[in-house]
Amino acid sequence: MRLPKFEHLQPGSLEEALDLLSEYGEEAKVIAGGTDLLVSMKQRLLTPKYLLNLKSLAELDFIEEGKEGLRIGALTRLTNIIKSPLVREKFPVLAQAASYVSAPPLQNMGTLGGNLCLNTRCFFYNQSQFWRQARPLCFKTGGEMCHVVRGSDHCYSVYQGDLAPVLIALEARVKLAKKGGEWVVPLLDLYTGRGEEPIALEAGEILTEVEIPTPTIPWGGDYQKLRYRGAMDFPLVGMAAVLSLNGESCAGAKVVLTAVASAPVMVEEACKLLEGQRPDEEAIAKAAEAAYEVAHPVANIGSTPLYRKKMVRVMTKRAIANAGGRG
Amino acid sequence: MEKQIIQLTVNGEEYEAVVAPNQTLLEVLRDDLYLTGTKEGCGEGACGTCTVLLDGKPVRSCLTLAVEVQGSEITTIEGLASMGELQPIQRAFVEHGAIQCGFCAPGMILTAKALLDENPSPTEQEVRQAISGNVCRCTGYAKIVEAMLKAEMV
Repeated sequence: MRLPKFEHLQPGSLEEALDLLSEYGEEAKVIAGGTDLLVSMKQRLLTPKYLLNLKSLAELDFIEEGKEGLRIGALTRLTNIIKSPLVREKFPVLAQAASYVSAPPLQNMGTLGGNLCLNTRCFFYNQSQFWRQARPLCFKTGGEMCHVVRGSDHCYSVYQGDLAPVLIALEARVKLAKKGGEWVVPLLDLYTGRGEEPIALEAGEILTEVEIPTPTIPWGGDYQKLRYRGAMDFPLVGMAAVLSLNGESCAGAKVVLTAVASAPVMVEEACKLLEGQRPDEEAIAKAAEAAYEVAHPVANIGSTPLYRKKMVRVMTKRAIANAGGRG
Repeated sequence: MEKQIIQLTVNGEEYEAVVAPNQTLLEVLRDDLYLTGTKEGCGEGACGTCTVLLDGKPVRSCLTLAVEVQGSEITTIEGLASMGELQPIQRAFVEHGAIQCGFCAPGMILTAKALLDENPSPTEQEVRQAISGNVCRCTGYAKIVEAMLKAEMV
């Protein structure tokens, strides 16, 4: 498959990159690892006029321990996150989730920022142009219908990133930048929940850094991923759980689902149910039930919605039990 | 769409190529340098037949822009055997029947090389993990894993 034509821009610094982005606006796309973007371009889902290459910006490729926690540059390759002694020591659950993304050669290419900014996916969207032209345009491609949920008024494409749920559970913040300014937002706010435009970045804005605050009390985390094969596949259900532990009981809990909606879902009810409780079988079962209630998968990625919904319960139980056991 | 000249080292030899921004490394290797050992399978990064070593690490050449590899060192399957003598991993693949139709072999062998360079005596689990992104449609995985485990001893 051939790539469509574009102009390749190679900025020498972040500042130059932001200048170029503000100049070209909607016509430009940034490329980091390229493992998702180039596929979308080959399928003609995206045909940017300019491709702004961030790969050579060493200033965005770092893993550092700061006063408040760990800072990871958006351009850090997933392999470097998996192998980083710092990440493995401070946030083993992040290295675990990164190792579940695709397969080693793609982890050598894919970046943290790219993984977080992953577009939402759908059987009717992630297809070649030839395949798609047999059907009318859907919401995601600029049309007025959804091929999955007939009669719906919006797009149901699914956010299937593996790192976002874990980082949201760790209360990570992301640094965004555009020409003349940078600001920090909680990672959860990066996701709009709208399948058509899932990432809350305007033209000219990029994600430059992720900050993970150091937890003040002992904690444990786990990520459970349901997929057909042990590699390559996006999650059919993903569940991240992080429990802060105060002796035997759970001082705070963050339970975050992925691959069941157009954005990662923080299961508030499950977090509340676990707080102050000993994470025993009964408490875990209640939290899993809460996650089951908020998951509404539809038939637009692999497997069936019913099976995926049932597996939300199973994955939640496993994630919370493992997280509790690791504290 | 402005073409540009890139210098790259492939299998120890220096090359200069005139490439368009939308050419992938795979296209340049096959169509410009005539190194057709690297295969195009899915073209979407899912199958692993286009795997090459970029500065020693396995990457997908179908998802790597040619303009990005300026100055890099690339190893393709043609770079392994020397003077008509197979490289130990290649020999292990032949001896253990790990080559059937051969389409996945270049990607498999290069992925194996990257693993064995870093970890000369991997466990079976590590081998399976390393090649988890490479598809063999003859489904001869058992023989491939066996060859990779034995290759270390050669």
